[in-house]
Amino acid sequence: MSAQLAQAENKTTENLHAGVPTLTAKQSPLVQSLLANKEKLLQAVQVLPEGHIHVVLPQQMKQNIAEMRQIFGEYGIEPRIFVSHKPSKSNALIKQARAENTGLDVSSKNELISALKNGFSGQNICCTGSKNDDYITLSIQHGCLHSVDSIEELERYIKACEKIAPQEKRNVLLRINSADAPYGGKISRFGIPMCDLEACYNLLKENPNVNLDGFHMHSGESDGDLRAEELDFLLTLFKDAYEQGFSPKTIDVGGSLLKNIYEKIEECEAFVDHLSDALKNNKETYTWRRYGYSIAAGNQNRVSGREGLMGFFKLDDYGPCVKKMMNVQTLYSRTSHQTLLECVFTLALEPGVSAYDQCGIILFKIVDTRFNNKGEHMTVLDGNVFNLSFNITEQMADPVLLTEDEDASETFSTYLVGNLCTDFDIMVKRKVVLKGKPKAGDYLCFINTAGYTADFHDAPVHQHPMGQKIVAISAQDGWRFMSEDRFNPYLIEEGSIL
Amino acid sequence: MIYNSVIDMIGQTPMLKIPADVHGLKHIDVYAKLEYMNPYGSVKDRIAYGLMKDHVEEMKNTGKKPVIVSNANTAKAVSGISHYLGLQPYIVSNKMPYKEVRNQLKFLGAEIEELPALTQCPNPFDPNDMIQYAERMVNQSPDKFHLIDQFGDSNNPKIHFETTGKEIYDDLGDVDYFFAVLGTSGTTLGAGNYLREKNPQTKVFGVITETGHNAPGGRSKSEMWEVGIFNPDHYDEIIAGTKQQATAGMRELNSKCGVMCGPTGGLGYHRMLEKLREIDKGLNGEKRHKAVFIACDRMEPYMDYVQKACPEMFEEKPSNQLRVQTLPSDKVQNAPSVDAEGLMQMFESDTKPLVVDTRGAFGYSIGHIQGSINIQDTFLEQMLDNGKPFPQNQPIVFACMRGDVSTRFAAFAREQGYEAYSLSCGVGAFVQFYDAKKAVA
Ligand SMILES: Cc1ncc(COP(=O)(O)O)c(C=O)c1O
Ligand SMILES: Cc1ncc(COP(=O)(O)O)c(C=O)c1O
Repeated sequence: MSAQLAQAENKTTENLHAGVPTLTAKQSPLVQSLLANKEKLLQAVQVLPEGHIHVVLPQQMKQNIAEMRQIFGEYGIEPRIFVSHKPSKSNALIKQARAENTGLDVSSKNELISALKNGFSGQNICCTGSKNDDYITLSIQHGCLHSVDSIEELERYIKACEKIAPQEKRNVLLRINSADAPYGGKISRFGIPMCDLEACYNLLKENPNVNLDGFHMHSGESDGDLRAEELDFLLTLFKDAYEQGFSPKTIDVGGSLLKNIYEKIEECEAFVDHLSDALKNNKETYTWRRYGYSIAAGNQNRVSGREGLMGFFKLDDYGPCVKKMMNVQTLYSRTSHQTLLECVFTLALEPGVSAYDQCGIILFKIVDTRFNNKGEHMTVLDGNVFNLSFNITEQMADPVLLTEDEDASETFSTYLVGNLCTDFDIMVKRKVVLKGKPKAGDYLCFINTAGYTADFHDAPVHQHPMGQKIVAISAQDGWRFMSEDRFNPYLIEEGSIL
Repeated sequence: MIYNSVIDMIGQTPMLKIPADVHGLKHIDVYAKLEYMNPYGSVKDRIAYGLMKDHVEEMKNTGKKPVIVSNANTAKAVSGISHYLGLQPYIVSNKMPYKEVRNQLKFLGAEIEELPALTQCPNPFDPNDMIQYAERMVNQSPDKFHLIDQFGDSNNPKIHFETTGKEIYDDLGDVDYFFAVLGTSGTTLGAGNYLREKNPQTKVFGVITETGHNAPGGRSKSEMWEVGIFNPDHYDEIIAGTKQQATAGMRELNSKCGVMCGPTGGLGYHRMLEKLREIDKGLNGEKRHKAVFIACDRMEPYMDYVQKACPEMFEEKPSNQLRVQTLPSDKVQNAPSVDAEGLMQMFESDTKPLVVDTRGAFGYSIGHIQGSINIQDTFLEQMLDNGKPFPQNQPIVFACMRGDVSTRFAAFAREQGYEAYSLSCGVGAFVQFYDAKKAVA
């Protein structure tokens, strides 16, 4: 760094950082405890090959699954949980899910193989998503529950069953397009349109070896009232199906049981307010190149799109949503949970966010820090936007600085840029606020990422390495670290590693 | 009073004085401006006609359609008025969650374009922002459409200045406190300015909803950003409220004053009273103060809203507690029961039992114990409470899903002299047991 810039930095530190909105990530007690032991964590990381590191916390998944069972248990419901595989490539977390006796929701042939490899039997695997012939074949060979996305897929599936398992029964769920629900679901390109349902019934009637085990809907909706109406709608489909002579049992309501991932809703609101005001009145946005997320300042003084961004900041975890889902009035003036119990229907879930919540963090090493030509402070990381979040979920929260400096308490705001040779490689499109001044060799830790989404996109662009995974276990004698291969959930009991 | 046209009936709405024993304020009189008395049912009639009136002839001559971005009162008013004036209303809206609303608008002759809702990802390029979409549509085909822009057109507050504000002043003279829920903010801006012009001391309060709450027609702080004419500096204070407060306000207005207003009226009233109680304490009684709030529309379309905000209000409670429900728990616990094996034996004996399945009809229709009858628990309680519905000379076995509900009925029926039992394992387990036995045999 040039001497002038260094001087400039010291001089302007105060006004550089004043007024930059913070977005603190929520940390579970387990994550807090891990970060409180940062020396041990950083030591463990030292021995790993270069690149960013996914620290996964299988014990967190154990807690998450227990919590989910408890929340539904309050209504007498024992859900059949198919943990969604796609958000994570961590074997350790999949092994942990198996140890909790959940099922797995897979969305490709290789995810199906991963499920089998980690001990799931076909009956406990639900195959969803777009399916090529190999994926369908393997699903049939292992007798997986198969969620059918279109009438064309049902035709292919039936034909394949005739060849692969001609004498055997196979179970399918019909995934219904959520946009076709009467209450007005979101537009979706997934699922069977209601107008094709009759034809699906006819196909199934002609092919009794393929059994209609139930209905499936993953709308991505997290609002309790809408989810309740969705469940009510699915129950009416059950009634129709029974009247047509089928006897479906499984009602799969997908995932999107959301967890709040930010510490304070007030910070989120202040961030959105600041951004709106800055876009409208040409003030400093503290976002990269005035990026507005979903917000745009339009004609006649209007600022639109705030709701899209606010939708990311949830006030509640999913408990209240489940309450609404389970208490909605359905057929014959029974509540949904009564109907599920009395009809002996199985409520199936495909939790992604809620299962992986707080199950991992990602560490990036800081390569250097600098000012750009606009005088903006930038922190260059040994990793890139593909390793963190690309376009499915924006990474917005402030990461935590892991440094050995003792007096790292003053706030410092900076843009985080990656190691690619493209302009778009900005890791977080807002100026993040750190506790302490970052320097080369320190680590930045992103909360609540390794278990979810980040791993979803991780890609070796420029032949940079993909994330290295390491398992962190909270044991009686402190934190222990091991490779994913060595991790065996059955050998961990009440904090002791057997 | 005789009118020649329904258009003439817009405005001049009544002003109702809220009795002092209802609001309990010492030094302030409170008035409700009953905007729901407008012919199409809301305060929006004023701007619907007001923003159209100078363009009616042109639209008639050219066949242009009035376009409105709304799925609520403004849509209703524009549709109704257009239909009446021989124009073709065109509504742009997000997907309408309630079929009832959609059908009402169709009934009023509207063509409806519903924009699909996109995913939750923040999308800067959302092509379906309703207002932008409508603006684009009108810009592309100015010969086909005429945009009625309640969010951006400064005539919206102007109409409230000329009518709502003036009417309030004509009725009450100087007003000290003016409250209304903010939607487009036209009412508070226009009427507020009129009242302040007459009395610069008038305090204007805007009421919004807290994050995570709503009141149809009103907006949250976040949503106010989307309103071009909104000017936060206009207000002495902006106060936020909840769905529950809106409902409580509706309830009180309805029960104590006969005011049949919707959630925004209720919310405005509720937040107003809290604010006025604070102000009232500081007044010395030298002069009486006057406060006005707006009851924007009627309550009927909002029962779903009210139920979601306050579900406990709608819980079905029998007028008298039924005796079945008041059985002491020791009696319930000691009720005689049979397990699957026991019920099988009863079936094989001479006096066959009557099995009463207390589940809902759907569960029963999917699978039940052969020969059982279905009387859903809620009906059964009433039947047992009213008399002895079953023959006395036959054992009765009550069966539910898990053996919990049936125990209570068995205990009560015992008291009434029946030889009653509860099937402890529940219906599902019995059917399994029975099938297994049959399979073996
Ligand atoms: C079919 C299906 N099920 C479940 C999930 C997991 O959803 P979530 O992460 O919202 O819980 C997804 C995610 O995209 C999905 O597509
Ligand atoms: C029921 C209801 N209440 C309140 C309002 C708010 O009025 P304004 O748009 O004038 O702020 C509206 C209209 O938007 C409404 O429909």
